Amino acid sequence: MIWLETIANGILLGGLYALIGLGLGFAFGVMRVVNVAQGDFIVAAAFIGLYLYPWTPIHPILVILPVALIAFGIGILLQRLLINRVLGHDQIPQILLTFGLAIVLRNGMVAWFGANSQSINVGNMRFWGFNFLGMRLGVLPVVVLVIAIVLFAALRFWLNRSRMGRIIRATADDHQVVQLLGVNYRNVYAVAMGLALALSAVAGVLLAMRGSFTPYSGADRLLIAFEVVVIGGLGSFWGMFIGGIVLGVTQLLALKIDPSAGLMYGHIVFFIILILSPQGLSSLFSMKVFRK
Amino acid sequence: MSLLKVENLDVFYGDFHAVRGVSLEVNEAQTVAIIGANGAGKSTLLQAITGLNTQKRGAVTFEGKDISRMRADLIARAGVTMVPEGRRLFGSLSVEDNLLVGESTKRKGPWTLAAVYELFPRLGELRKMQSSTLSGGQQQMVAIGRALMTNPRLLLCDEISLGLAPKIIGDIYRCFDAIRQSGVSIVVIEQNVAQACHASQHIYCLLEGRISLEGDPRKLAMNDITAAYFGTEQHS
Amino acid sequence: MTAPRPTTTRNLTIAILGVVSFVVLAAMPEFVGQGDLRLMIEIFTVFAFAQSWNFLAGYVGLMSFGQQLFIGLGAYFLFMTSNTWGINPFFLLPLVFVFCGLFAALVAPFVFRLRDAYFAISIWVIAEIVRLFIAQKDWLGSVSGLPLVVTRDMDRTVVAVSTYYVAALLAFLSVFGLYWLSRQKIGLALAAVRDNEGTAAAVGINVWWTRFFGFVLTGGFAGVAGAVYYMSVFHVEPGGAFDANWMVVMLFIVIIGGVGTVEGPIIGTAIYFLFRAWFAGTGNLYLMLLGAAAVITMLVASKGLWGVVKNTTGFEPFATRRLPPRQS
Repeated sequence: MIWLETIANGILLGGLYALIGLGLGFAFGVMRVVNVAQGDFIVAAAFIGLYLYPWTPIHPILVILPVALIAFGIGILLQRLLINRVLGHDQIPQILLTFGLAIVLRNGMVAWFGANSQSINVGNMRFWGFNFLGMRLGVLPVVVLVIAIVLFAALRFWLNRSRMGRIIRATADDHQVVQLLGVNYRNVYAVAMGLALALSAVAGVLLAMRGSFTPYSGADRLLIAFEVVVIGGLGSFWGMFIGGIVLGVTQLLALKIDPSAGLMYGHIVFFIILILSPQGLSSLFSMKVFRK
Repeated sequence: MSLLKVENLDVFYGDFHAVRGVSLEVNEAQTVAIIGANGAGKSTLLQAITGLNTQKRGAVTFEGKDISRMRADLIARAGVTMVPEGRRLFGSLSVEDNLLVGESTKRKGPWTLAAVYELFPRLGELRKMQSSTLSGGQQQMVAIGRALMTNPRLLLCDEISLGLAPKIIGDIYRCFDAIRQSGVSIVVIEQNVAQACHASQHIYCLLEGRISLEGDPRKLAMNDITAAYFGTEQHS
Repeated sequence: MTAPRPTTTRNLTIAILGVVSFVVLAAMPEFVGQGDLRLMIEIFTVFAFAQSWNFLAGYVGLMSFGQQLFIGLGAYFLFMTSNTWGINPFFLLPLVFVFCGLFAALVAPFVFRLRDAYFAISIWVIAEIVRLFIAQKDWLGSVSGLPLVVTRDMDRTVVAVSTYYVAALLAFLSVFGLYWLSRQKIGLALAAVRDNEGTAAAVGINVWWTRFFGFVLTGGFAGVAGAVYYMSVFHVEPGGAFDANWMVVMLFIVIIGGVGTVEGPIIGTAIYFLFRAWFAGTGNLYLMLLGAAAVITMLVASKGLWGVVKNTTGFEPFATRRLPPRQS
């Protein structure tokens, strides 16, 4: 039973990991941009959440709304002021640029907030639990998973049904031809980066509610996001969700077996998948985040 | 009056000086053909007019306004669009979604989804299909329809007959009359000289980036066109 | 653009530069004290790290965020073998090259399936796996690390001077070896693959094996450099040897100097050590400055400082490009 409970908890955690990957995967799918600073933006969002939640009405968990909004704005600025200037065939400038940004952001947060471990307090909800099929599960992790699923589904629905979603999908396919139809792809990119950061910001805040974080957590977050995208890069949107769950379950099972292991087994499982499924991974490069 | 006027245009493709001092004119409701061999600079010329190529010198005037320094999406909003070489549909989108992206110019005009489906009835039946699964001819119709959805004043068509069966090419060119009657001027790039002469009121022949011949195809001798096309004869 | 000088003149310039640097490097221990010698060792090894990454990114066309993997591997391999068998570590350096090269060869088939940033991060993931693994194992010293036992009983000056010479050799190879390599057939193949895979394959270059060669070579070289660096401090621990901040340093040096050039990282290394001397006391501010400098360089001069120098003066002693005759 204890194992089943661990697996169930792994699935709950995995949903959140999937959400961490979604921002990175979405930005890559639309723009072929890999934002190496994504992990540090996730942590920055957690800090914003930390400062905003005492003022949040109704329930602290609603702090994800203002944080997502702020992250959306930051994403637009990031794309317009920095990344759009180095776009081109060569990916190296954008990757190095975001790497530099990650260093600035991380050390800026250390200087500003100190290196202490922090957490966002959601009040009593943290301790609520319920029995399900003989397992004891937390309410907060379930709420977090539901939010993750809703965001995945909402993004899919919006991309498929809205005018802007259609333009984003078209731009992802061919950013030159959309210009012939009157679309400024740089604006589309800015919106896409805004969305990517907003999704990541929600993940960051939820992660800070479930556990703790420090200014240095960004590197781990980025690696998780990256592993989710690669594992899930089997050509589908929900593949990322599976990737997150694989990682979440692995990590909790490994911690149960070997409490000092940390993230190592997650990394190893990722690597084994990399070895075993070249087909799935090669499809990553023609990845259509938006396909059914 | 002239809708588009290109004067003394030089365009570079990377380090390559692809278009050299080209001048041409397109009048309202006219079809103009640009012919020339592979690598003559035809595509680069169109890319420069649409703003996709920004390495250029010279003047491009559309409806009396200089558009040579304008961003590609703004040129499209001003009413110039292109059916790109190789069609380049948005492969993961459905036929209808491809067409609807054309609304992004926010220009008003006769071309709506219904009008495009009337022009190409087959597309109406295929509207839910993913565009990458269509045949070449169907894809070309989507590409033309998508461009029409922007309600352009000037439609540039880059090698639309390339790789298509003669019957389908005929079908597509037959639609040009309807398009022109809606007030759209057309520029076609063709390697097929006979097709180009048949479809247009004025032709320009490009040779190594320069215009080697121009005129009314009905008044030009086939020998002169062939010579200008291949550069087999010295001309001053 | 200035006309390229005739190849013979250029070869002569390089030869003179080579001999002069060789003599200067060899004579250095006669003139500087031990403290300065240690700094020189650090500068040379860090320069070698940077050049190994520069080679991978700028010459092979593979960007990695996990070059610290080889630094740590090299150091740990050297410490473990030397301590276990009681062998003088200097004799083990060739073995370090082989070990790290082999490790690179083993992971290459898997990581080569990924491209660009995904390749870059996958190496980082491997570095993390190795770091977490070592931190768990007591026989590898776990979190607190390993000392280098053998050199303890040796004459300190001899060790310092010997380490210096090895470091100086690495720095020398980082410049002249890299230049030499880039002029060889394999160097040209690497350049072709980096610039355009398709074209390279079309002219008969085996893209995969060319990349593989570059990756293995850079892994082995970074491993030796890492081993030498940690030999000079006599102690290695996983947190430091596999520290992602090594990447920050390498990136800074190469980006500021100019990626894909022999000369750029020389400037970059000089700037890095000056920066460090001025701002080291400021802790995070100093790292922020490194990051910000990288961002600004990418925005205003993506070819780095050396690119600016080259464009304004036309001076390029280590030019590997063969310029075609200008078309009129």
